[in-house]
Amino acid sequence: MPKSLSNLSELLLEEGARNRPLYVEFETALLTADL
Amino acid sequence: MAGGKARQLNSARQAASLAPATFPYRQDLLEALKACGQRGRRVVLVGADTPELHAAGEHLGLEIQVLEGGDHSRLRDRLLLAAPAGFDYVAGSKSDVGVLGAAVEGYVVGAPASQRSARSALVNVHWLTPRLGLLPALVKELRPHQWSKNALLAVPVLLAPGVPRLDKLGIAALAALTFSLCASAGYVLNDLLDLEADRVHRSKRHRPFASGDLPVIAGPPLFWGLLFASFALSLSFLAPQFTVLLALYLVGTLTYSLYLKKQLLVDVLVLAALYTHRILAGGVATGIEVTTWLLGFSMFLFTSLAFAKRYVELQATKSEDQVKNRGYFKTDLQMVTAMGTASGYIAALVFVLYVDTAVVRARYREPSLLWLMLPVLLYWLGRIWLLAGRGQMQDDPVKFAMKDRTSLWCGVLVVAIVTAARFAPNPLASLVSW
Repeated sequence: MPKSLSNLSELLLEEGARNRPLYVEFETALLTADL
Repeated sequence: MAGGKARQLNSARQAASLAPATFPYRQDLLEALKACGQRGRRVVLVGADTPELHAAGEHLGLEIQVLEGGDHSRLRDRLLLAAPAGFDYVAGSKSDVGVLGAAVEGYVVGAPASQRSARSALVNVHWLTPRLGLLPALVKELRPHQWSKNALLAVPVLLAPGVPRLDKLGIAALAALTFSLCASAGYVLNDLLDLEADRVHRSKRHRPFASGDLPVIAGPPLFWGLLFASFALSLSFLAPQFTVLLALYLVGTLTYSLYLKKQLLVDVLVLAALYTHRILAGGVATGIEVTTWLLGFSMFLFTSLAFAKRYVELQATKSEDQVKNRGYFKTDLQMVTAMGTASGYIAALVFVLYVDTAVVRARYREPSLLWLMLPVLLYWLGRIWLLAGRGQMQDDPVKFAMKDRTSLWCGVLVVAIVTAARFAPNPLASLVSW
């Protein structure tokens, strides 16, 4: 079930998740267009 | 290995010359990452060894993990080794399934529905939908609420003698559509040119191109498509002189957006002229003569409203410095108020002088009824300025009036008075004749 990006903070800060490192793909996830 | 270090050093050096604040970040994700950082969660950016990755990492205060040769399988192994207790991973729509599958929690942003179903086996993955779909983003970019201003093109038909003719109203509606498409093309071009500035602006970063809801690559074809549709409709169905006015409107609106909006007083006069231009164009499209009275009234009225728009912006400014992208300072508030209110009352004066002209006597059965519009006009203008002064009007006044119940009632009263003046039975007219 797709979730809204606007709720992402809550998902990423859930109990138990905070102790794990979070890796984020720079070009394909964090950016919306090619530089 | 030495070559890799040298490459990284080179990337870092090149990163210093970039402007990472203006990169097209996915704003929702960026805000979530900032929240993670504030709450102490370790966040690492993963990507190819580029100056942009280094610049973004430094700008955002995040660690970076360089992906050697774009090899995702080695990345999965390295991440598993570096975080034996597990890691979470945020990927884009074209990312490798292996790393996502190895994560405790995976997140995919910007993926179409078809890809979600194809990868439904990944039970640990959250599929995150963007704020807006492509179609709503497209509609938002065209700013259809601004199209209501083009109702001014129908004013000459509505004020022409007798009952408004349907065929003329149809032509006015088509003319308004060409202006609307042209205006939307202008918004698209403006947003494309201001992309980097919009991305760091408090509210403009939510615009579809700046936020990434619409791909930037779609911008140029959208601009040209809208322009083509606007001029094709005009050339096919409307008078050639109207197309000339449409072209002048395009030049005026683009020049305003790119340059004139920053010029003291010229900005206000151009805004008022663009509103008046719509009335003139409506007259040319429908073949109805527009009186100089109407044009004068429109110029003064819209000059007042344009000053009110600047007043609202100035009032919201905290700094005493020049307002960004405008030619005004906070100290101009008093003069802006004086010039704005004076213009509004001159518009009312032009209106009452117009009521006593031969044109009105020829067009209206009972012109004296039109005097009833004067208090409505004075009340509405006075209220707009008072609300602006109290800080109760945060919008452009025209936009505000479209949503404000009292303004809408004033509009209903004006329509009722004009209708009564034009078609009044004699007994009613005799009550107010003097």
